[in-house]
Amino acid sequence: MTARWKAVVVLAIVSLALSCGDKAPGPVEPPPTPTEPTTDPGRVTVVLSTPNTNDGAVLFTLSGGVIDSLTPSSSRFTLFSVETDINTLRAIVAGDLADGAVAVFWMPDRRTIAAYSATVQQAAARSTYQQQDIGSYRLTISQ
Amino acid sequence: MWLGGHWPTRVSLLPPLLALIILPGTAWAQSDTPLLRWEHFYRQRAFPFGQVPRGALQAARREAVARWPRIAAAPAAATSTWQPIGPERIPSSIRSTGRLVAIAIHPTGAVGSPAVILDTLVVAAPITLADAASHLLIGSVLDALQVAVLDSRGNADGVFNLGDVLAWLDHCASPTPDGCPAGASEAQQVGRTLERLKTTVPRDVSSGTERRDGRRR
Repeated sequence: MTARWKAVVVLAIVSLALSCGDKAPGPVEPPPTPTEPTTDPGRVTVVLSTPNTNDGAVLFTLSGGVIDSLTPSSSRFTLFSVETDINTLRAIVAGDLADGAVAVFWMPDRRTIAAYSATVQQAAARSTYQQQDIGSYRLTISQ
Repeated sequence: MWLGGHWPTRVSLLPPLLALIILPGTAWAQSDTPLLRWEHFYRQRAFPFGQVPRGALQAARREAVARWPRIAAAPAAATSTWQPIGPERIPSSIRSTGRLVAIAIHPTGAVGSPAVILDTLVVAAPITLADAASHLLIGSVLDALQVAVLDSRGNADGVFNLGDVLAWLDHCASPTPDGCPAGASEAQQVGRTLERLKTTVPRDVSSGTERRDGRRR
């Protein structure tokens, strides 16, 4: 084998070895960023604010979106509820009521909690069963 | 004794006049037996006939249904809860003696089963707690008589409202929940309402919703 052929073979081996190596580093792709969750399903609480200390029951309307499994917030309370349409419930919660949570329910997306509202329509006193003036009653929905 | 110008008149008046003279002095007249009491009332009902016409009671009931359909439609009170409340004989004593001839029912229904006096005394059908609550929430569950009973036993303000439902709730939880169907516990009634809620508008809350037991779907 002549020196020329040796040089050709060496050159072929070197070029073959180079062709099997890693590719040259190109532009680095950014790592995938965590995406925002599409929904935030979960439980929310209906909180009563009352000016009286002798409330025995409150009738309220809850609306604004899908309302699932409305239940009393405490085993000491009794709750009745009926759907008037797909996004509205009328409910009665009875017991020794005071400022604080009276009911809980589940909503498919808690980011839309601001669209929900609860309104007191009637309130009755314990023992005397007289209707209360509901002007100062408030219900709020919180997580 | 001549009381008229016609012979038949004399004949018809004679027996009563004889009875007035003779009967009060006899032991038979002074006795007070159940048979005589029954006969006394029966003859008033049968007058002017010798006996009550066949089917008179059924005819009266049909007429009552036609005249007051809402009241008549109420089912009869359960026999298991029926108890006599009078009238009955007053025990003799130095200060009083005799027999009660009438009773007055307390307008708020303090005696026995739920009742209310409108123009007549009527007894309402039993009322479950769930039905009382549902009537307030959506209406068209109770009849007018049941609503009147609940208001009279509640805050008696002439309007069916939350105070009346609250009063019924307390009543049904009392040791003597008359008119509140036995065996229908509070939990069952709440469950029944929730079941109605579930079946009214079936829907599927979006996947991933947390369930009531805290687990995730």
